[in-house]
Amino acid sequence: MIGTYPIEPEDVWNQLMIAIFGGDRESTIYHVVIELRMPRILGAIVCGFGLAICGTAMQSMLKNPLADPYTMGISSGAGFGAALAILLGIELIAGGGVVVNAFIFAIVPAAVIMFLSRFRQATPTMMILCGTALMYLFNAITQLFMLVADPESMSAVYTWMVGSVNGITYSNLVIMVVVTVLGSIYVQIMAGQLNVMGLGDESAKTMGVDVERRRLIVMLVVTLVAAAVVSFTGIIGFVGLVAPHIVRTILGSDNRYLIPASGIFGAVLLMASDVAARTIVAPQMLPVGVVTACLGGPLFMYLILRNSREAWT
Amino acid sequence: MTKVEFKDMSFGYDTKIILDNINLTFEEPGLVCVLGPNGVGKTTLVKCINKLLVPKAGVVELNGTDVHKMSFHEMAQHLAFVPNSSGNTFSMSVLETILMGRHPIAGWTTTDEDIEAVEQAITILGLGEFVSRDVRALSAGQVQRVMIARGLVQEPEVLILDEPTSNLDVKYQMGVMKFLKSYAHDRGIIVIMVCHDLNITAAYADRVILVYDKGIYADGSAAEVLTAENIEEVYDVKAKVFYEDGVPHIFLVPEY
Repeated sequence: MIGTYPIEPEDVWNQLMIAIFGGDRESTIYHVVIELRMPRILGAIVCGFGLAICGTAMQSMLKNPLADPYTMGISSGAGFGAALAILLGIELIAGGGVVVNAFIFAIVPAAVIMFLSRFRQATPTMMILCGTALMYLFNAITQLFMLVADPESMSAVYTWMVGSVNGITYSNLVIMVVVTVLGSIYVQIMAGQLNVMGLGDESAKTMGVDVERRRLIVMLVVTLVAAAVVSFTGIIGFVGLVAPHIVRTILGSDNRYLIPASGIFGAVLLMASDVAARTIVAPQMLPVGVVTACLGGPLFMYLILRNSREAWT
Repeated sequence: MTKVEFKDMSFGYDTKIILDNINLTFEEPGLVCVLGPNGVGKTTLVKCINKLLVPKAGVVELNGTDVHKMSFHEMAQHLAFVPNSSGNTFSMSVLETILMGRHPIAGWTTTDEDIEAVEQAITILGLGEFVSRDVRALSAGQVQRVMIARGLVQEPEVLILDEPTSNLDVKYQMGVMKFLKSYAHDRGIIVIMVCHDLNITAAYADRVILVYDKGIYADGSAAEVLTAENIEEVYDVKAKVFYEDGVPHIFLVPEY
């Protein structure tokens, strides 16, 4: 297992066996493998998988290659909620702290879009513009809070804003896994309808898809997944945007295959980024979001240049 | 037998009425062409059939049921729509795009029956050499053929097409019209298409509906509807109409 405390693969296996079947659970190596690194690795996998699934579904249903949990305002909403708790000590639910605040505010953009849809038909363009407007609004207010924050709180908010899978616990993981798995199953079941929605609203309706209703439900589901993930990890950008595009250049745009493949790619990308974040400047740690962008960015650029005719116009 | 019926249907945007008190019935299998000047409400008329637009008053019924009381899924079992562009955002091959037409009737996996229907449509529309190409890389005419193929594989009882020949050269225009007419009769389905070409319509349509001034100006056979008087009144263009085997040939008199 790669890290600042090098551990052989055989030892990792032994510690896993101890965790399952019992044994010496007081050793340092057990603590490092099972208590520190395992939740972190699993967290990176679930987070990468969830964000990539969200990005894929959003891009397909909104027919917009730039749609992802960040541009839809979900991440910024979560950031705003976290900043409220860290800087001002405001908790929407007593004792909920940063996580509950982040989760609730992450859902706000979807709630606003659904509210608007009751009065006007929510077109994909309208939805993404609403999300983007809220993203700017949340970011602006968060930055305003940071201007008047003390250095310690500001550092905490900054750490949250760049995202990290460090500190994820097994109890956090249970929530992340349950929400991500249920959301992913729903999105996968809807893959055929997302394909049809990619042809445009009129075509999709005449092929049997209740587009407005389906879009809102998928939007709600992926918002819950993204909110559940970023509430525990902070804002990890890029995975949700880039993972679907990279996989699309290899597998094509059929969501039946694209959704699971993007999820797996997102999980691998975030896990690899986390390993790099822990080791590049060890014993210091880099923000995982920075590493994700540094790893995925050049790969994405390369694929854009190689496949620009095939994948995007 | 499938029946589409407009009953006192009116449609408009805000206070502007586009179609007023339309009463129409589509019952006989065959090729029906909807003609009229730009902006008169031809596409609006056909989009009221498949619930893409909601009438302000009256109803459109499919086999006696108000289409707005039917779910989109239920409606897609009977009606297919062919738009005049693909709308693909992401890369999709011709094969994938046509296969998606099976969505309303197919299950989760692609069956041999689906493949057979798609292969048939590909052959009919001469798309064999393009199957693996990205739809967005095709010419406008090729895209229209892909869209028609997608509509055919849905195996509808009513096929609605919005200007399906507008980007085709004359050979393909005639080929598509000939095919749609024989397809309608062979399958016993109603094909309703919005178009602009009077001569192509006259040559192939079983029935012509001329839309003008918020209503149905004329409805009948090509010979009954495409008269010099009707063309001049509706299009404000002088025309001479010659008949050969009962089929009108329209010569539009240029104004200099």
